Amino acid sequence: MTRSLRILYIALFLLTLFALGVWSTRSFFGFNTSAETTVLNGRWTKAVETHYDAEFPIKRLGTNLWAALDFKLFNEGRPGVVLGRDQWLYSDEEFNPIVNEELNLQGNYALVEGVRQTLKAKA
Amino acid sequence: MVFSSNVFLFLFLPIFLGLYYLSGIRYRNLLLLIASYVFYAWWRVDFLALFAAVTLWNYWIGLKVGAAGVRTKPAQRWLLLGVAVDLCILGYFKYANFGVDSINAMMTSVGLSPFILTHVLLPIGISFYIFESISYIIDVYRGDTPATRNLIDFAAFVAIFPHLIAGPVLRFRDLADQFNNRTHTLDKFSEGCTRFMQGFIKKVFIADTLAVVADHCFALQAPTTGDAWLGALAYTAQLYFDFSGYSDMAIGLGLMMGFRFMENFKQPYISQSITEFWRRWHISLSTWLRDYLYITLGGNRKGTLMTYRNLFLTMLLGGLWHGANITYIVWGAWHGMWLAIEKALGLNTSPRSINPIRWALTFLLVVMGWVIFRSENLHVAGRMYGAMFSFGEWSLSELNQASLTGLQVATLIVAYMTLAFFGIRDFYTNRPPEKTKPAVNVEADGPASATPGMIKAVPGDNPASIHEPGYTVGVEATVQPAYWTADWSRYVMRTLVLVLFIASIFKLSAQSFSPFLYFQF
Repeated sequence: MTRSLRILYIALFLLTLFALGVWSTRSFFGFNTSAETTVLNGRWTKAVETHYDAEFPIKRLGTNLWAALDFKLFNEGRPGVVLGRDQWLYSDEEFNPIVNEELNLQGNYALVEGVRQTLKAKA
Repeated sequence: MVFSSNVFLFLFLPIFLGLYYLSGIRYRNLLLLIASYVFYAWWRVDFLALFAAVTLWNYWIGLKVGAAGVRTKPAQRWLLLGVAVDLCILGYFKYANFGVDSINAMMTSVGLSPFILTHVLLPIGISFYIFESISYIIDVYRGDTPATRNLIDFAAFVAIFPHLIAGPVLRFRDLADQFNNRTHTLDKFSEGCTRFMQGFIKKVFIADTLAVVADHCFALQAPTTGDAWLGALAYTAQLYFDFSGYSDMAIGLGLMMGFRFMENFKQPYISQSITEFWRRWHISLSTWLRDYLYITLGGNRKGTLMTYRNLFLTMLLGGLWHGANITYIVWGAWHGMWLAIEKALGLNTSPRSINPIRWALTFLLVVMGWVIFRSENLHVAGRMYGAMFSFGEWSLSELNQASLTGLQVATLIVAYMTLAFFGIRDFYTNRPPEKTKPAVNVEADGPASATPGMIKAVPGDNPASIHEPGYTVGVEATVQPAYWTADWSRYVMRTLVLVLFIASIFKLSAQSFSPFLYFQF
């Protein structure tokens, strides 16, 4: 690899970091944390980082690009999304394995049944 | 702070690199130290005090050991004091909860009232920085490195942020010279960029995608045989791409600052024996265990039976180092057992050809090890092993089928193809020479440096050429081959790395949080 190509390579790498870095600082304008987020136990840095990630300039673009890629290549939704028919989208939480799911299911059925009976009694 | 986070990539790293190259050479180590402390304090400021105290303690012990003279009685006493305090700190923060829980379980089972201890928080990176400190004071005692008077250099060595939180486990004697004089060249920097981006891609592209699959399979209440094998194989790939990705990023960051760290991974999944696996997996930890634990226990000097005991014990403690959980102990014992068996059988651990049966058997043993390593407790491990070896239902369960996406399957295939390609290539380019040379005899009392470190060939060099005259590194040296021998392929690779790096940045910003697996150890 020649010297100039090396410089180009490093420049491209650094440019990506610096450009996005400068662009991303605008998320701090007018940002302040509440008094409870103390510095000593890491709450403040956590709050800053969460805010920074949420406001990151290419977050929306990245999310859209990867969702489009997933959809085009595999006909799937983003993690957490299940595609339905007629452009319906569903959340996938029902597919997550849970401890004692059978029991939970029974409990929820009972709850639904209880609500139904209460409503019936009132109506 | 995590390497694969927006804050590190776009705020910390650019600001640090800018300051680093703007400041004079004399102030660079100090800057490195301050930056590393900021990096650590990003997690919690209060635990930085513990970190600094441990550093000061070992600096002081190092001076005391050094002043008492190499391998003298007073030096030994200082060393023992130093190691004991270090281990007590590690023991308290890492194992207090586990110990109290275990004792309580026993006490309640015989009807006594349990102890009460507030939950102890595990400081990030403590296992790594304690081990690095211990290696320094032992090296001073053994005379492998002089005790340093320069507190800034020593503190910067322990804290240097590329390896601060999850290794590689570096040794002071390997880096001492690099702190005093190191070169900053375009070649090193560009290589560092490549390594860093490669690691980032490994982590964000592959490991993070597979993590979901592994987590899901290990959480299933009644996994089928298919689910269990999918989970085990996904985790096997995830762990490698996660941890070797982290190591690549660390090595790459080091190169950007002119440091050369030791390699941590050498295509471990191509191994044909567990002994070979440990020469290729987490190399910095296995050499640490060998030099400071196995040899201290007596190594192979005290007869065959003691050698097996030492091997087993080393791996058992190595397992425990990963965390205070019975699963890690079982995992360590599992590997220790196989190491001892292989030694007893006199297996050829540097084969020159690939024997598919031996490879498959080794890979199976490794995967079985990872299952218990990943499991939260013995119950989960039992559930997984039961499903894996019941050979019942090979199709995936309904719950798993519904959540497994095409992207995940494709990633898994790409991951294993990458492993196979680079593994086989590494095997054939770095084959041990035909003639069987007498093994390097590592004496228990000899310097820990008896096994030579890694020397990097210049890109374009044929790695075998160091055996030719004109190379003064010695024939025993392990040489990491230059990554590519022809330049056109390097253009292609670097372009590809850049493109994939950008894609990974997009993926990172799309997903929320991505911690490294080795942060928990």
